[in-house]
Amino acid sequence: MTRRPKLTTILAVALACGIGGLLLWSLPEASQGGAVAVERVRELVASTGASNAVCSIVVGARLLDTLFEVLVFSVAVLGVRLTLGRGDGGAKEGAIAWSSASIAVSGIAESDVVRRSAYLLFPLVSILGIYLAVFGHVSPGGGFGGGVVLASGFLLVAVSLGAERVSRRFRESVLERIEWSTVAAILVFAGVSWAVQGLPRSGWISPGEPGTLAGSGTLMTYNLLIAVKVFLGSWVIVHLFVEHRGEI
Amino acid sequence: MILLVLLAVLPVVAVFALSRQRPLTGIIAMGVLSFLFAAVYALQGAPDVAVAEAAIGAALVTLIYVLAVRRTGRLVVAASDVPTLFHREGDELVGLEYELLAGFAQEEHLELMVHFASPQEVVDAVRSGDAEVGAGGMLALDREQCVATRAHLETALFAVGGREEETPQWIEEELESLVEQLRDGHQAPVMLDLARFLAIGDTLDADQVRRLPGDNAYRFLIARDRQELHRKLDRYLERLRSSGELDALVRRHVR
Amino acid sequence: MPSTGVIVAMVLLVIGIGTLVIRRDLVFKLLALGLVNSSTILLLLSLDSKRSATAPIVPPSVMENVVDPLPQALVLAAIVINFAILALALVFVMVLAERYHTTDAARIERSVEKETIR
Repeated sequence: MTRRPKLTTILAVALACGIGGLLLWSLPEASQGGAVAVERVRELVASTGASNAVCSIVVGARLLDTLFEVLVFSVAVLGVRLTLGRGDGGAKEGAIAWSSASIAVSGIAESDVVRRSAYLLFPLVSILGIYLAVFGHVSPGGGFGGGVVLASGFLLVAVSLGAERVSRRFRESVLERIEWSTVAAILVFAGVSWAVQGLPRSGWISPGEPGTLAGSGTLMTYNLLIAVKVFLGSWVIVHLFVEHRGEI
Repeated sequence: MILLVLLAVLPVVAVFALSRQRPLTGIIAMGVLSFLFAAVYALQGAPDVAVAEAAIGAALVTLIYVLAVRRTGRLVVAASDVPTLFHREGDELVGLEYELLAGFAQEEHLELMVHFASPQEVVDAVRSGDAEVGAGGMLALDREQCVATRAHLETALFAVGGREEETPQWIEEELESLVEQLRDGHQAPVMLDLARFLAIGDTLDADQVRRLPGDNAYRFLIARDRQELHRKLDRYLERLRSSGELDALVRRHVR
Repeated sequence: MPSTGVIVAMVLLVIGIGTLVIRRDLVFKLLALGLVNSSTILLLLSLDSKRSATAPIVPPSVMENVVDPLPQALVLAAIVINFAILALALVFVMVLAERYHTTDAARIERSVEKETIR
């Protein structure tokens, strides 16, 4: 950062302050009351049989939004895969194969503690992710949170134990196929659900007591599918980044 | 309340994170900031959002940033193993040129990434741009191939092996294989610089060696499109030379 | 008087947008965008001015002071999408940095100009 204030700096600060002032000025209209919230939550819980009102909005009342968001996510992952996966992206040809070993002088130390704790933590994190996804409609969590937590568990393994370990089990092509078939499954399921009962409603799979696990089966299915999709997408991104380590 | 404290801390950490000089520090600080954000979300009554933000902001985002920046913050050096100049002893690196480059990298906040290779491979790597700096007793013999910095240490040239009238070629493979070839009676003469010559001097017979006329000097090779790096390295070497530090380093490594 | 969360979120927004313009390093520009993301989410989440007594939205049948679940629902998927798009943006930054050997936005612009002139 330069010391003397250039014209752009002044303009930038002015723009930022202008936006801040605009926000402050428009504030009073933006805040909703609390009574409306309670009403809405009550109605949502009654109609979908899930106690997590956020989940019932995301996957129930606003399901179309969520579907498109999943699509946007898939396209973004596709973009990353296309640019990084080719191993090209503008790189020069005929790279020299290093004949001897290379030393990173100030690299990260590999310690035993990290490896052992990764072994211990990975099952815990995976169980947490699955729990978030499965119980997403009765307790905080949901498909998105569960999928991301699962991805971060695999990330832990990739960083501490080496990404090759995980790549050995899941090959890229298989992952890609599973990913797109999950998106297709979500769309198909949404279509079926709409045909059976109309879109905002749910509970035609296993209508049980609202608040229990079995209540509102469609929500749980959506949560699981979304969790799988988000997990696969995030893992693909992380894996591509780890593989390339910044070298395109 | 905890919420107010967290909210008050947020802008402080944000300004700190975004005003760092090294990207790596800023990235880690932003990871911490995401964690604070997640705590605030949870306290505001949004646990789903908090879980998602914590897992993404603190773990995934930080990781991909670190991986992306790792390369751009590196100085890739291709070096040939020469005992006094650039040498690997077990897990450590020693030598005059190594110390010069390590000091330069530290000043520029770069991470030094060293690949060892034979002299010919070093030249190829710098020429193709795979490595940014070539080190390890490099001489600027062929000016068309690589750009070189100003000399940092003078040296003499020796021709080893072969008969008198053959013109020696610059050494292409690593020192160990050269010693083996000489022992087996390898014919073609090889040109060595002073450091390499001293390194293998006691394995040679006197009649295999003759001193070549003229002087030369060690330089670093720089990839052709790295003008900025070239200028910075030249300036760094010049500064060391004028302050006398270069001589001190030379005296320490080259006895 | 808006709740503290809203004010802090606006302050952070200003910081983020200001940093986005001021700093020349591309990585810091992306970090500032991430900050703008998070602070926007904070703004949306802190908008109930009644300061309901911190009961989240998942009670089984007991409905007390609950927070409005709608902003959270809007924002939940956005976080995950932001991550994917950030990864994509980072890939572009990597490609640029690899090509022009710098992450300085002004320097990259100058190099691109020089190339297109030739």
